[in-house]
Amino acid sequence: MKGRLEGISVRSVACVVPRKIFRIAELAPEFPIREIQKIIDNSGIEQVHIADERTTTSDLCERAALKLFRETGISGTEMDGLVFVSQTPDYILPATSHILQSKLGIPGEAFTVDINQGCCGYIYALFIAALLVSSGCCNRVLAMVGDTISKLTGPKDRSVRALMGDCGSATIIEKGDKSISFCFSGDGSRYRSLIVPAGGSRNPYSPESSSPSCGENGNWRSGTDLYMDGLEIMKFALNDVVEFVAATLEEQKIPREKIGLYVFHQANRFIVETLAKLLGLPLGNVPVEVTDVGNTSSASIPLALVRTLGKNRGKDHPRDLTNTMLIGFGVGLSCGTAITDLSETVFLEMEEYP
Amino acid sequence: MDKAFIDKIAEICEVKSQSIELDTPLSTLQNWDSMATVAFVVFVKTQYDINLSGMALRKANTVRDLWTNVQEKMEGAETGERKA
Repeated sequence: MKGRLEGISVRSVACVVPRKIFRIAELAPEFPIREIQKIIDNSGIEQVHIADERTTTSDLCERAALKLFRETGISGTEMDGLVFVSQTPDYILPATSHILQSKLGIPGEAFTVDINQGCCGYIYALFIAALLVSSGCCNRVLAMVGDTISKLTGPKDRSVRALMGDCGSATIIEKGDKSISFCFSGDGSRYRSLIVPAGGSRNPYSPESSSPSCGENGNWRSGTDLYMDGLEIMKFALNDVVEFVAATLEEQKIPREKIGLYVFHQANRFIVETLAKLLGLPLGNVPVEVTDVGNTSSASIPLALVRTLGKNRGKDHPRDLTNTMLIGFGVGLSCGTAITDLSETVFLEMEEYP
Repeated sequence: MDKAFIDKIAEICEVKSQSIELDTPLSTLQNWDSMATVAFVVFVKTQYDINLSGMALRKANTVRDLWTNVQEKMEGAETGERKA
Protein backbone atom coordinates (compact mmCIF):
# COMPACT_ATOMS: atom_id res chain seq x y z
CA MET A 1 0.00 0.00 0.00
CA LYS A 2 1.13 3.55 -0.60
CA GLY A 3 -0.51 6.91 -0.16
CA ARG A 4 -0.13 10.57 0.70
CA LEU A 5 -2.17 12.36 3.36
CA GLU A 6 -2.54 16.15 3.48
CA GLY A 7 -3.43 18.69 6.14
CA ILE A 8 -1.54 17.25 9.09
CA SER A 9 1.34 18.19 11.34
CA VAL A 10 3.48 16.16 13.72
CA ARG A 11 3.50 18.56 16.66
CA SER A 12 5.67 16.97 19.32
CA VAL A 13 7.39 13.71 20.35
CA ALA A 14 8.42 12.45 23.81
CA CYS A 15 9.99 9.20 25.03
CA VAL A 16 10.29 7.62 28.46
CA VAL A 17 12.53 4.65 29.36
CA PRO A 18 12.58 2.69 32.63
CA ARG A 19 15.27 3.82 35.05
CA LYS A 20 16.57 0.29 35.64
CA ILE A 21 19.59 -0.60 33.54
CA PHE A 22 20.82 -3.98 32.32
CA ARG A 23 24.43 -4.01 31.15
CA ILE A 24 25.00 -6.52 28.36
CA ALA A 25 28.31 -7.55 29.98
CA GLU A 26 26.19 -8.96 32.83
CA LEU A 27 25.38 -11.90 30.54
CA ALA A 28 29.00 -12.94 31.03
CA PRO A 29 28.65 -15.55 33.79
CA GLU A 30 26.18 -17.48 31.62
CA PHE A 31 28.17 -17.10 28.40
CA PRO A 32 31.90 -16.72 27.59
CA ILE A 33 32.97 -13.09 28.10
CA ARG A 34 34.77 -13.09 24.73
CA GLU A 35 31.55 -14.00 22.99
CA ILE A 36 29.54 -11.34 24.82
CA GLN A 37 32.17 -8.74 23.89
CA LYS A 38 31.88 -9.79 20.25
CA ILE A 39 28.10 -9.30 20.38
CA ILE A 40 28.58 -5.85 21.94
CA ASP A 41 31.17 -4.88 19.29
CA ASN A 42 28.82 -5.89 16.48
CA SER A 43 25.55 -4.55 17.86
CA GLY A 44 27.02 -1.38 19.34
CA ILE A 45 24.73 -1.97 22.33
CA GLU A 46 26.38 -1.70 25.76
CA GLN A 47 23.31 -1.40 27.96
CA VAL A 48 19.52 -1.31 27.81
CA HIS A 49 16.79 0.07 30.07
CA ILE A 50 14.39 -2.58 31.35
CA ALA A 51 11.07 -2.23 33.15
CA ASP A 52 10.68 -3.50 36.71
CA GLU A 53 7.90 -5.98 37.47
CA ARG A 54 5.30 -3.31 38.19
CA THR A 55 5.94 -1.11 35.16
CA THR A 56 4.14 -1.84 31.90
CA THR A 57 4.43 -0.37 28.42
CA SER A 58 1.31 1.72 29.03
CA ASP A 59 2.90 3.22 32.16
CA LEU A 60 5.88 4.39 30.09
CA CYS A 61 3.61 5.73 27.33
CA GLU A 62 1.43 7.49 29.90
CA ARG A 63 4.51 9.25 31.33
CA ALA A 64 5.59 10.25 27.82
CA ALA A 65 2.10 11.67 27.15
CA LEU A 66 2.08 13.60 30.43
CA LYS A 67 5.48 15.06 29.52
CA LEU A 68 4.06 16.16 26.16
CA PHE A 69 1.05 17.74 27.88
CA ARG A 70 3.31 19.58 30.34
CA GLU A 71 5.66 20.96 27.73
CA THR A 72 3.20 21.80 24.96
CA GLY A 73 0.43 23.09 27.21
CA ILE A 74 -2.09 20.81 25.50
CA SER A 75 -4.25 18.67 27.78
CA GLY A 76 -5.89 15.29 27.35
CA THR A 77 -9.29 16.97 26.97
CA GLU A 78 -8.09 18.42 23.66
CA MET A 79 -7.55 14.99 22.08
CA ASP A 80 -10.23 13.31 20.02
CA GLY A 81 -8.22 10.26 19.00
CA LEU A 82 -5.83 7.83 20.69
CA VAL A 83 -3.74 5.16 18.99
CA PHE A 84 -1.78 2.65 21.09
CA VAL A 85 0.70 0.41 19.29
CA SER A 86 2.44 -2.34 21.22
CA GLN A 87 3.12 -6.06 21.45
CA THR A 88 3.07 -5.85 25.23
CA PRO A 89 -0.40 -4.59 26.18
CA ASP A 90 -1.59 -4.53 29.80
CA TYR A 91 -4.15 -7.31 29.30
CA ILE A 92 -5.29 -9.78 26.66
CA LEU A 93 -8.50 -7.77 26.89
CA PRO A 94 -9.63 -5.00 27.13
CA ALA A 95 -7.57 -2.92 24.74
CA THR A 96 -5.00 -0.79 26.58
CA SER A 97 -6.08 2.31 24.64
CA HIS A 98 -9.33 2.39 26.65
CA ILE A 99 -7.41 2.43 29.90
CA LEU A 100 -5.06 5.16 28.66
CA GLN A 101 -8.01 7.25 27.46
CA SER A 102 -9.40 7.35 30.97
CA LYS A 103 -6.05 7.81 32.73
CA LEU A 104 -5.04 10.74 30.52
CA GLY A 105 -8.37 12.56 30.78
CA ILE A 106 -9.15 12.11 27.10
CA PRO A 107 -12.91 12.48 26.44
CA GLY A 108 -15.02 9.35 26.07
CA GLU A 109 -16.10 10.56 22.62
CA ALA A 110 -12.54 10.13 21.34
CA PHE A 111 -11.78 7.29 18.94
CA THR A 112 -9.38 4.83 20.58
CA VAL A 113 -7.66 1.79 19.10
CA ASP A 114 -4.93 -0.77 19.88
CA ILE A 115 -2.66 -2.08 17.15
CA ASN A 116 -0.38 -5.10 17.54
CA GLN A 117 2.83 -4.17 15.75
CA GLY A 118 6.54 -4.14 16.56
CA CYS A 119 9.53 -2.63 14.84
CA CYS A 120 7.27 -1.11 12.17
CA GLY A 121 4.77 0.07 14.78
CA TYR A 122 5.63 3.77 14.74
CA ILE A 123 4.88 3.99 11.03
CA TYR A 124 1.52 2.24 11.60
CA ALA A 125 0.71 4.66 14.44
CA LEU A 126 1.56 7.71 12.32
CA PHE A 127 -0.50 6.33 9.44
CA ILE A 128 -3.67 5.73 11.49
CA ALA A 129 -3.30 9.04 13.33
CA ALA A 130 -2.68 10.97 10.09
CA LEU A 131 -5.65 9.19 8.45
CA LEU A 132 -7.94 10.21 11.32
CA VAL A 133 -6.83 13.85 11.08
CA SER A 134 -6.56 14.10 7.31
CA SER A 135 -10.04 12.62 6.85
CA GLY A 136 -11.53 15.24 9.14
CA CYS A 137 -12.66 12.66 11.71
CA CYS A 138 -10.28 14.00 14.35
CA ASN A 139 -8.55 17.29 15.09
CA ARG A 140 -5.76 16.00 17.30
CA VAL A 141 -4.60 12.44 17.89
CA LEU A 142 -2.28 11.09 20.56
CA ALA A 143 -0.21 8.20 19.21
CA MET A 144 1.44 6.11 21.91
CA VAL A 145 3.93 3.52 20.76
CA GLY A 146 6.15 1.31 22.88
CA ASP A 147 7.18 -2.08 24.16
CA THR A 148 8.59 -3.80 27.21
CA ILE A 149 10.13 -6.74 25.36
CA SER A 150 12.33 -7.49 28.40
CA LYS A 151 9.21 -9.17 29.80
CA LEU A 152 9.26 -11.59 26.86
CA THR A 153 12.95 -12.52 26.77
CA GLY A 154 14.34 -15.70 28.34
CA PRO A 155 16.88 -14.71 31.02
CA LYS A 156 19.43 -17.04 29.43
CA ASP A 157 18.77 -16.16 25.79
CA ARG A 158 21.59 -13.91 24.59
CA SER A 159 20.18 -13.73 21.04
CA VAL A 160 17.54 -11.26 22.24
CA ARG A 161 18.63 -10.24 25.76
CA ALA A 162 21.80 -8.65 24.44
CA LEU A 163 19.75 -6.38 22.16
CA MET A 164 16.27 -5.56 23.42
CA GLY A 165 15.47 -2.56 25.64
CA ASP A 166 12.16 -1.08 26.83
CA CYS A 167 10.66 2.32 25.97
CA GLY A 168 7.34 4.13 25.64
CA SER A 169 6.69 7.09 23.36
CA ALA A 170 3.95 9.63 22.72
CA THR A 171 3.43 11.77 19.61
CA ILE A 172 0.80 14.42 18.88
CA ILE A 173 -0.52 14.52 15.31
CA GLU A 174 -2.91 17.38 14.55
CA LYS A 175 -4.40 19.47 11.77
CA GLY A 176 -1.72 21.41 9.94
CA ASP A 177 -0.26 22.40 6.60
CA LYS A 178 2.06 19.43 6.07
CA SER A 179 1.68 16.24 4.11
CA ILE A 180 2.96 12.75 4.87
CA SER A 181 3.63 9.90 2.44
CA PHE A 182 3.44 6.26 3.44
CA CYS A 183 4.49 2.94 1.91
CA PHE A 184 3.83 -0.45 3.47
CA SER A 185 4.81 -3.97 2.50
CA GLY A 186 4.87 -7.29 4.28
CA ASP A 187 5.42 -11.02 4.00
CA GLY A 188 3.30 -13.01 6.43
CA SER A 189 4.72 -16.32 5.19
CA ARG A 190 7.83 -15.64 7.28
CA TYR A 191 5.96 -14.91 10.53
CA ARG A 192 7.84 -17.65 12.37
CA SER A 193 11.24 -15.93 12.19
CA LEU A 194 10.24 -13.43 14.92
CA ILE A 195 7.63 -14.85 17.25
CA VAL A 196 6.39 -15.55 20.77
CA PRO A 197 4.93 -18.95 19.89
CA ALA A 198 2.83 -19.68 22.98
CA GLY A 199 0.42 -17.80 25.20
CA GLY A 200 -2.13 -16.88 22.50
CA SER A 201 -4.99 -19.01 21.19
CA ARG A 202 -2.92 -21.12 18.78
CA ASN A 203 -0.65 -22.52 21.50
CA PRO A 204 -2.26 -21.61 24.81
CA TYR A 205 -0.32 -20.92 27.97
CA SER A 206 0.45 -24.09 29.94
CA PRO A 207 3.07 -25.16 32.48
CA GLU A 208 4.86 -26.93 29.58
CA SER A 209 4.74 -24.03 27.16
CA SER A 210 6.13 -21.67 29.80
CA SER A 211 9.00 -23.85 31.00
CA PRO A 212 12.34 -23.02 29.38
CA SER A 213 14.47 -25.49 27.48
CA CYS A 214 17.86 -25.20 25.82
CA GLY A 215 17.44 -24.35 22.13
CA GLU A 216 19.95 -23.78 19.34
CA ASN A 217 23.27 -22.12 20.20
CA GLY A 218 22.82 -22.75 23.91
CA ASN A 219 20.07 -20.18 24.40
CA TRP A 220 17.34 -21.06 26.89
CA ARG A 221 13.78 -20.00 26.22
CA SER A 222 10.19 -21.14 26.72
CA GLY A 223 7.23 -21.03 24.33
CA THR A 224 6.06 -17.81 25.92
CA ASP A 225 9.45 -16.15 25.30
CA LEU A 226 10.48 -14.22 22.20
CA TYR A 227 12.25 -16.24 19.52
CA MET A 228 14.30 -14.57 16.80
CA ASP A 229 15.95 -16.27 13.83
CA GLY A 230 18.81 -13.80 13.52
CA LEU A 231 19.97 -15.02 10.12
CA GLU A 232 16.49 -14.83 8.56
CA ILE A 233 15.92 -11.35 9.99
CA MET A 234 19.29 -10.18 8.68
CA LYS A 235 18.43 -11.55 5.23
CA PHE A 236 15.06 -9.80 5.38
CA ALA A 237 16.84 -6.52 6.17
CA LEU A 238 19.52 -6.93 3.49
CA ASN A 239 17.22 -8.04 0.70
CA ASP A 240 13.59 -7.05 1.27
CA VAL A 241 14.10 -3.86 3.25
CA VAL A 242 16.81 -2.57 0.92
CA GLU A 243 14.68 -3.24 -2.16
CA PHE A 244 11.60 -1.74 -0.53
CA VAL A 245 13.33 1.47 0.56
CA ALA A 246 15.11 1.86 -2.78
CA ALA A 247 11.80 1.43 -4.64
CA THR A 248 10.07 3.88 -2.29
CA LEU A 249 12.71 6.55 -2.89
CA GLU A 250 12.48 6.06 -6.62
CA GLU A 251 8.69 6.28 -6.58
CA GLN A 252 8.61 9.42 -4.45
CA LYS A 253 11.09 10.96 -6.91
CA ILE A 254 13.16 12.43 -4.10
CA PRO A 255 16.92 12.31 -4.64
CA ARG A 256 18.72 10.64 -1.72
CA GLU A 257 20.58 13.83 -0.76
CA LYS A 258 17.31 15.80 -0.50
CA ILE A 259 16.34 13.79 2.55
CA GLY A 260 18.04 15.42 5.52
CA LEU A 261 17.48 12.57 7.95
CA TYR A 262 16.83 8.86 7.56
CA VAL A 263 15.66 7.29 10.81
CA PHE A 264 15.70 3.52 10.58
CA HIS A 265 14.26 1.16 13.15
CA GLN A 266 17.27 0.86 15.48
CA ALA A 267 17.70 -2.91 15.28
CA ASN A 268 21.40 -2.61 16.08
CA ARG A 269 24.37 -0.64 14.75
CA PHE A 270 25.51 -3.33 12.34
CA ILE A 271 22.11 -3.59 10.61
CA VAL A 272 21.48 0.17 10.39
CA GLU A 273 24.96 0.90 9.03
CA THR A 274 24.74 -1.96 6.53
CA LEU A 275 21.35 -0.72 5.29
CA ALA A 276 22.71 2.81 4.87
CA LYS A 277 25.71 1.47 2.96
CA LEU A 278 23.68 -0.78 0.65
CA LEU A 279 21.23 2.03 -0.09
CA GLY A 280 24.01 4.52 -0.74
CA LEU A 281 22.82 6.96 1.92
CA PRO A 282 25.12 9.59 3.43
CA LEU A 283 26.09 8.09 6.83
CA GLY A 284 25.87 11.50 8.50
CA ASN A 285 22.14 11.56 7.77
CA VAL A 286 21.54 8.12 9.25
CA PRO A 287 21.61 8.28 13.05
CA VAL A 288 22.47 5.19 15.09
CA GLU A 289 21.19 5.53 18.66
CA VAL A 290 21.62 2.17 20.33
CA THR A 291 24.66 2.28 22.64
CA ASP A 292 22.84 2.89 25.91
CA VAL A 293 19.23 2.06 24.98
CA GLY A 294 19.45 -0.97 22.66
CA ASN A 295 16.75 -2.05 20.23
CA THR A 296 13.52 -0.69 21.71
CA SER A 297 11.23 -2.38 19.20
CA SER A 298 8.26 -0.18 18.21
CA ALA A 299 9.64 2.83 20.12
CA SER A 300 13.07 2.83 18.48
CA ILE A 301 12.22 5.39 15.77
CA PRO A 302 10.72 8.04 18.11
CA LEU A 303 13.53 7.33 20.58
CA ALA A 304 16.17 7.86 17.87
CA LEU A 305 14.35 11.07 16.89
CA VAL A 306 14.39 12.56 20.38
CA ARG A 307 17.95 11.44 20.99
CA THR A 308 19.14 12.96 17.72
CA LEU A 309 17.00 16.10 17.79
CA GLY A 310 16.00 16.57 21.46
CA LYS A 311 16.39 20.02 22.99
CA ASN A 312 20.08 20.05 23.82
CA ARG A 313 21.25 17.90 20.93
CA GLY A 314 19.71 19.45 17.85
CA LYS A 315 21.49 22.80 18.27
CA ASP A 316 25.03 21.55 17.67
CA HIS A 317 24.10 19.81 14.44
CA PRO A 318 21.31 21.72 12.73
CA ARG A 319 19.59 19.47 10.21
CA ASP A 320 17.20 20.06 7.37
CA LEU A 321 14.09 18.17 8.41
CA THR A 322 11.76 19.32 5.63
CA ASN A 323 12.12 15.83 4.15
CA THR A 324 12.58 13.28 6.92
CA MET A 325 12.24 9.59 6.17
CA LEU A 326 11.26 7.09 8.86
CA ILE A 327 11.79 3.41 8.10
CA GLY A 328 10.35 0.56 10.17
CA PHE A 329 10.94 -3.15 9.53
CA GLY A 330 10.66 -6.38 11.46
CA VAL A 331 8.04 -8.63 13.04
CA GLY A 332 5.32 -9.82 10.66
CA LEU A 333 7.49 -9.66 8.66
CA SER A 334 6.69 -6.08 7.75
CA CYS A 335 8.18 -2.95 6.29
CA GLY A 336 6.86 0.61 6.34
CA THR A 337 8.13 4.09 5.55
CA ALA A 338 6.88 7.60 6.19
CA ILE A 339 8.26 10.76 4.59
CA THR A 340 7.20 14.08 6.08
CA ASP A 341 8.29 17.53 7.19
CA LEU A 342 9.42 17.52 10.82
CA SER A 343 11.07 20.96 10.77
CA GLU A 344 8.47 22.44 13.13
CA THR A 345 8.11 19.37 15.35
CA VAL A 346 9.23 19.72 18.98
CA PHE A 347 11.38 16.84 20.23
CA LEU A 348 11.59 16.54 24.00
CA GLU A 349 14.53 15.09 25.91
CA MET A 350 14.31 11.42 26.85
CA GLU A 351 13.18 10.91 30.43
CA GLU A 352 13.54 8.01 32.89
CA TYR A 353 10.77 6.50 35.01
CA PRO A 354 10.23 6.08 37.90
CA MET B 1 39.35 -17.74 -5.68
CA ASP B 2 38.89 -14.17 -4.61
CA LYS B 3 41.47 -13.31 -1.95
CA ALA B 4 39.02 -10.92 -0.31
CA PHE B 5 36.80 -13.95 0.25
CA ILE B 6 39.35 -15.95 2.27
CA ASP B 7 40.50 -12.82 4.09
CA LYS B 8 36.95 -12.06 5.14
CA ILE B 9 36.27 -15.57 6.42
CA ALA B 10 39.52 -15.37 8.38
CA GLU B 11 38.49 -11.98 9.77
CA ILE B 12 35.03 -13.22 10.73
CA CYS B 13 36.53 -16.29 12.44
CA GLU B 14 39.34 -14.24 13.99
CA VAL B 15 42.15 -16.40 12.55
CA LYS B 16 45.03 -15.72 10.13
CA SER B 17 44.24 -15.98 6.40
CA GLN B 18 47.10 -18.45 5.94
CA SER B 19 45.41 -20.91 8.29
CA ILE B 20 42.38 -21.20 6.00
CA GLU B 21 42.30 -23.37 2.89
CA LEU B 22 39.55 -24.32 0.51
CA ASP B 23 38.98 -27.67 2.16
CA THR B 24 39.06 -26.38 5.71
CA PRO B 25 35.94 -27.83 7.36
CA LEU B 26 33.83 -25.05 8.82
CA SER B 27 33.36 -27.21 11.91
CA THR B 28 37.06 -26.79 12.73
CA LEU B 29 36.77 -23.01 12.74
CA GLN B 30 35.96 -22.32 16.36
CA ASN B 31 34.30 -18.97 15.72
CA TRP B 32 32.15 -20.06 12.78
CA ASP B 33 28.93 -19.61 14.75
CA SER B 34 25.51 -18.04 14.18
CA MET B 35 26.93 -14.53 14.42
CA ALA B 36 29.64 -15.43 11.92
CA THR B 37 27.08 -16.68 9.39
CA VAL B 38 25.18 -13.40 9.74
CA ALA B 39 28.41 -11.47 9.15
CA PHE B 40 29.14 -13.71 6.15
CA VAL B 41 25.70 -13.09 4.61
CA VAL B 42 26.24 -9.33 4.97
CA PHE B 43 29.71 -9.62 3.40
CA VAL B 44 28.54 -11.45 0.25
CA LYS B 45 25.65 -9.00 -0.11
CA THR B 46 27.86 -5.90 0.16
CA GLN B 47 30.83 -7.34 -1.76
CA TYR B 48 29.12 -9.30 -4.55
CA ASP B 49 25.45 -8.16 -4.31
CA ILE B 50 24.36 -11.75 -3.75
CA ASN B 51 21.51 -13.07 -1.62
CA LEU B 52 22.49 -16.44 -0.15
CA SER B 53 19.77 -18.78 1.09
CA GLY B 54 19.79 -20.01 4.67
CA MET B 55 19.59 -23.57 3.34
CA ALA B 56 22.75 -23.19 1.25
CA LEU B 57 24.58 -21.91 4.33
CA ARG B 58 23.38 -24.73 6.56
CA LYS B 59 24.44 -27.31 3.95
CA ALA B 60 27.94 -25.91 3.52
CA ASN B 61 30.61 -28.07 5.18
CA THR B 62 33.81 -26.43 3.94
CA VAL B 63 35.09 -23.04 2.84
CA ARG B 64 34.94 -24.42 -0.72
CA ASP B 65 31.19 -25.03 -0.35
CA LEU B 66 30.70 -21.40 0.63
CA TRP B 67 32.75 -20.19 -2.34
CA THR B 68 30.85 -22.52 -4.72
CA ASN B 69 27.56 -21.05 -3.49
CA VAL B 70 28.79 -17.54 -4.16
CA GLN B 71 30.12 -18.46 -7.62
CA GLU B 72 26.89 -20.17 -8.63
CA LYS B 73 24.92 -17.11 -7.61
CA MET B 74 27.32 -14.81 -9.49
CA GLU B 75 26.95 -16.89 -12.66
CA GLY B 76 23.18 -16.83 -12.14
CA ALA B 77 23.34 -13.03 -11.92
CA GLU B 78 25.17 -12.84 -15.26
CA THR B 79 22.43 -14.82 -16.96
CA GLY B 80 19.78 -12.70 -15.30
CA GLU B 81 18.67 -15.15 -12.63
CA ARG B 82 19.87 -13.23 -9.64
CA LYS B 83 16.52 -13.17 -7.88
CA ALA B 84 16.14 -16.96 -7.93
